Amino acid sequence: MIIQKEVFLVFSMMFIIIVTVFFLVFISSKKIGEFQNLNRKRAIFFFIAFGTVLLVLGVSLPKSPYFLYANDQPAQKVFVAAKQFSFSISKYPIATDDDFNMSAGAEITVPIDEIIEFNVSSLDVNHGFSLYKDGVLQAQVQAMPGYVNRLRWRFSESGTYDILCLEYCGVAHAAMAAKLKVE
Amino acid sequence: MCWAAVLLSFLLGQNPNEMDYLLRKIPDATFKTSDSSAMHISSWYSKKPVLLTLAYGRCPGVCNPYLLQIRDQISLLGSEKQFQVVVLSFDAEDQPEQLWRLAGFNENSPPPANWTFGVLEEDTRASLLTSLGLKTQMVGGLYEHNTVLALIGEDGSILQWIEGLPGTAQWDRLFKELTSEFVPVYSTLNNTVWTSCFQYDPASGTWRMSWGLLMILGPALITFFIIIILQSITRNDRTKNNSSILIQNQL
Amino acid sequence: MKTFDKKFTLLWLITILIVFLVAIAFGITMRMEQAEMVDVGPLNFYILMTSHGLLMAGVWFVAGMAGIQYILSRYFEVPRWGSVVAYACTLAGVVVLLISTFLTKFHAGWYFLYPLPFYAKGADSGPVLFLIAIAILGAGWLLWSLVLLVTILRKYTVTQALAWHHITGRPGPAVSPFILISFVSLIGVTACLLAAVVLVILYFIELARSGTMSNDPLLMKNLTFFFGHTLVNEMLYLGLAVLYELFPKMAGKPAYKTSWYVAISWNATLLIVLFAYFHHLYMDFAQPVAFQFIGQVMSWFAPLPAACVTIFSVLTTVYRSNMKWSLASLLYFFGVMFWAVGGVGAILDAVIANNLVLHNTQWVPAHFHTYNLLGNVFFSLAFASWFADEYGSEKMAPSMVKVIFSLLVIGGTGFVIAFYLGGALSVPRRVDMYSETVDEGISLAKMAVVFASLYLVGMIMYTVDFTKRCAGQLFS
Repeated sequence: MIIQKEVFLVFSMMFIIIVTVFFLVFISSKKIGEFQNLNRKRAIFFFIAFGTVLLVLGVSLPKSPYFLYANDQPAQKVFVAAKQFSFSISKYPIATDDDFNMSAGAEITVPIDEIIEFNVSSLDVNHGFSLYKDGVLQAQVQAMPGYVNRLRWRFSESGTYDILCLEYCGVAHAAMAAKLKVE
Repeated sequence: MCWAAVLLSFLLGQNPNEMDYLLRKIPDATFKTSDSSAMHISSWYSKKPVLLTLAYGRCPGVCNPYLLQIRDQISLLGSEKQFQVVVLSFDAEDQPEQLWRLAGFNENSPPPANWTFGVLEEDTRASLLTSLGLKTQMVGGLYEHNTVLALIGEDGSILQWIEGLPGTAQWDRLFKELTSEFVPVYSTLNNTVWTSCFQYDPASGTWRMSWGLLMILGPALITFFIIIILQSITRNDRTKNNSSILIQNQL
Repeated sequence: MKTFDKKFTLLWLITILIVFLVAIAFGITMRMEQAEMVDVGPLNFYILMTSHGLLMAGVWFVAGMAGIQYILSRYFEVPRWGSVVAYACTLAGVVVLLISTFLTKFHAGWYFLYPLPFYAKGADSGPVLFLIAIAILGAGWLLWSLVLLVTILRKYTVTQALAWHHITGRPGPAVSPFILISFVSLIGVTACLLAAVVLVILYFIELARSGTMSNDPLLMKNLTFFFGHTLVNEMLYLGLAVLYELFPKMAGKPAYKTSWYVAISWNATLLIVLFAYFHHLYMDFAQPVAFQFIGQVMSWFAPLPAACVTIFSVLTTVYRSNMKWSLASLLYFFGVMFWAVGGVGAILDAVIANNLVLHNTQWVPAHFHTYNLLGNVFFSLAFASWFADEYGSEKMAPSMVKVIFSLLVIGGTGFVIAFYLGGALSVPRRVDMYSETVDEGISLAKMAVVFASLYLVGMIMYTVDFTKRCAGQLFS
């Protein structure tokens, strides 16, 4: 299952639990009484929360994208430069405006099931480099001027991927997009 | 003499930044090898990464220990077939065999297949030297020069650039790149940037904390001191009010 | 009770409600543009976005501060000029801000991420005016928070105000949770406003020496979010401080006491909040991994002390309390509920592996609208309702309570659910139109417009009712 759906499911569950608890307490406010064993229940509540946090941190931190395919050799390097309001994608480094113009608008193809290393940077303001397949966001990295961020990714599905700018970069931000073919 | 030149350029603050060379393409220079054939550098880097350095045969100074160290370090790496070491002379009077000796090879023990020695041809020499940041000056029939080791990628662009004798950390980074180990980021900030939280350390390919980080810590630290100052300013008020606090708390 | 404090609080509240209505109207216009119901064009959309963001962050920050100022004035003599100067600076700042966005067409977003202000500047004076607005607002608020800090320090030492003696058990004056939370939040506010000062100075240096000196985008991004994230985080705590003071009385229970765990919680929060902002830079691989991990760890630990203690206290206070519900107590109780819901959305996004597909999607506005629109705003509206019930000419009619509360809850919930769905469907945030890739955004925007309008109707009714009941006090 894709991550977004998982997150939404967990969120919906928690949403229902929280709302239910609050409503039950709200309804109980019509009655008179005291909350029993306050200190003990507070301690249990806190330790469950604390344990959950530790568990989630332990499981999720190693899955961070900074280590994706770090020990593998990429089959291909792809250089991506962003500039208001377009992307330039090339198999060769893009360091200057001339490099940018040379490969602007060109569509490139990368192999499926191989590790691709995207070298992402920006020539003006902050942009975002994101990979969408059929409207579902697969991965992203920021394109920050002065830095080259490297994202390693393995495409498991062939077809055309949409690249959208995901960091607000000015008036035509919404139209800033490109395409990438995976075969 | 060579050492003096390197030291001088360092002291004068003219030590060029690696970022000025990274990702720039080198001209596809031609050179003569020992069997007198003319070769393009591209004939190597189009096949595999090239460790490129320049030297000259009559060098009385740095060239010999420099190439010996490169040879030592590369023998430690073990995966020699993954890349090609190309040593080129910028002195037109040189013979490739002269360069062999600088790296400890001779006719009896010739260099292995992953080493190439050659003498640069006149027409492309100057542009190659400029693109690599190699500076030479003729003094009394000998060259004063700096030393540069560059890693050239398959499209002829400079992937790494090290001036002078590489340190251990620099070798580490070079080998990381050669064996495609993952370095998630590198910096291309130019030198008009006057403060930065992190200094990209070209030597190790990692980030070091820099004084710009104080700008992030600063607000919290200043707040801490402000609170301390406010506490001492209000000391007199507190002693006056101490007696009335309990009453006011009951409000 | 001093009449000045009462009147000036009233002035703050009426101003806040009016600015809020304007900022909601901006927001609805943006959603209508995204829903293709109107056509204001991208430039106007981003002008509205910039204004909406800063107005909302600012107005609910000063609402929290006004609440703190008022409750403090019930305990102590609070210098008036802090609040007065802040009011003048807020008005002036808002005017300059609106000039910079609507007249000079500055449209770099409220968080003005470097170096965008030099590109999305509109006229050349755009960024200068905008930075001046930030400077005016920052200076006024900084002064205000320092005045409030001094007020607390006139009675308590730093360690007393931080309730350390409640942890160690040493003798000392009783410190109410209100004082503790206010003190902790005001320290955080001071720190993040100082970050804004550094940020604005760096911008001005670059403007003054155009071309010859530039800043490191990574450093600027760190400063931006240290300022922006911490400010909106602390303003929620300002609202909570007042909740700790007022809510138990509404439920007919004894006042909350500062126990050892409350003291530890808020001391921990003081530190944790300063590090949580790193989660805004997860997708900047240039940021050292250690900082990214600190970001996730702190973001996950942040809710433990503050949220868990508050949620548990509020639930046990209400449980079988036989309390009479007013609009104020309803808003407090359900404000805490939505705060918890928004918190779940937030920490799910604060997992780096999730952030890879949630960063800068609508999941982000989803979670922060939940605990602003339905949390922080509810806290401040609860304070205003309590204030109006206390000093207004009459109590709010029960039927009015039901209508307004239902409109706010239904409108707000539907509005944020449209955002959550957008996040789950990978719809990006901060775009004026949706390309084919993410065209689900259009129908979600339509849904948001409908629900946001309900919320707006509720807010207009609230504002009219509030003004009707209280305006007389202002001129009495």
